[in-house]
Amino acid sequence: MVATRPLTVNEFAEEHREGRWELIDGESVEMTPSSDESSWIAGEIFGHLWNYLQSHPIGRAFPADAGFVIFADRDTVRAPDVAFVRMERLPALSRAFVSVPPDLAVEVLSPSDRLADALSKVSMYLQAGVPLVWLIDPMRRTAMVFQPDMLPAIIDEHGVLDGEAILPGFTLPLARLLD
Amino acid sequence: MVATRPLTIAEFEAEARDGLWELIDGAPIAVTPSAGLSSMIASRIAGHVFVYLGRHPIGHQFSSDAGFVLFADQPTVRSPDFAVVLRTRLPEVPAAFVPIPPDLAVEVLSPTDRLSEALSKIAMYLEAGIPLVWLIDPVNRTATIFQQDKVPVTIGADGVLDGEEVLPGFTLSLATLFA
Repeated sequence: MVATRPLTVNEFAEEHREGRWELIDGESVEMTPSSDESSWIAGEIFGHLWNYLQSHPIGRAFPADAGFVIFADRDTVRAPDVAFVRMERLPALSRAFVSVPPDLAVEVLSPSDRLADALSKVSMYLQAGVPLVWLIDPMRRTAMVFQPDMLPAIIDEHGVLDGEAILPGFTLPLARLLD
Repeated sequence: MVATRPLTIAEFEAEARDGLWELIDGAPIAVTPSAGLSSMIASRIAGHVFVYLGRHPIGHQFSSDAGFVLFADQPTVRSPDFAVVLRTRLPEVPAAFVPIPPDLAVEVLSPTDRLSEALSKIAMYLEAGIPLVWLIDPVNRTATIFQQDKVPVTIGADGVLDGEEVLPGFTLSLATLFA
């Protein structure tokens, strides 16, 4: 077994790797590209979010390639499929990874993703203090909504994703993402 | 930073630590005692399952101090708040950690737990192949049911915990559980 030294966030940022990688406690992990359906759904969510932010300029939306340093004291950089950060938490862009965890993180499951891995990622977002996490499961036509200190709410294909206190007035029927 | 060597399961077992500890990938982690409400709810579930297993002697039940070796190839020993192992998978209960993951694992949220920690534990249970996991929130009187490759289901006051294929015919309404 080869013991590799954990990477710091700065070392990870300077490596210029090909493809999409995340850093989890100093260990770099390559991400499998998404399926067509998952990528399209993430794009639709980003589009609806972008559109909402045109009339409610309360923050910034990021597509799947943005890296977020989600803990101040751990070498961890994660890339949600879609993310939103309120303006007061990110007044200016820095030409580096986003230095704070997002206010909304969205993950869209691909057929190759397992629920256990997805829950593990969601639990890390919640641990980092992300107040709202949407986990979209296109195969089973549902979404799971996670907020701190509440059991996950499960939304079926007739349900609506709600921006809650994070994106006041934002609603997106799940059916619009599934057909 | 002091790098401590990961423990093997045999070393962890031989240490006979005071209090309740879990082993996560070789790292021993102390478990905080549960709140009274959480412990009471876990013992009520144990009582209902005890009655069921008296009539259907298909499994062994374990309280929150039992250690389960979750993976054959990873030094991880975890203690669900309540667990059942079917006799077909464990004919004799050993005088050591239970060498296999349970068939039903129950976690009851305590004000000392964070949802992120509970979800991370449940992700590990699903990864280990546990077919049925109940996450109980005694404060909000809700529960979420996790099964392999199925969408989790969150139930409220009118919902029922079902033994599914693990404990066929077992049902326990949340109204009864929280009465």
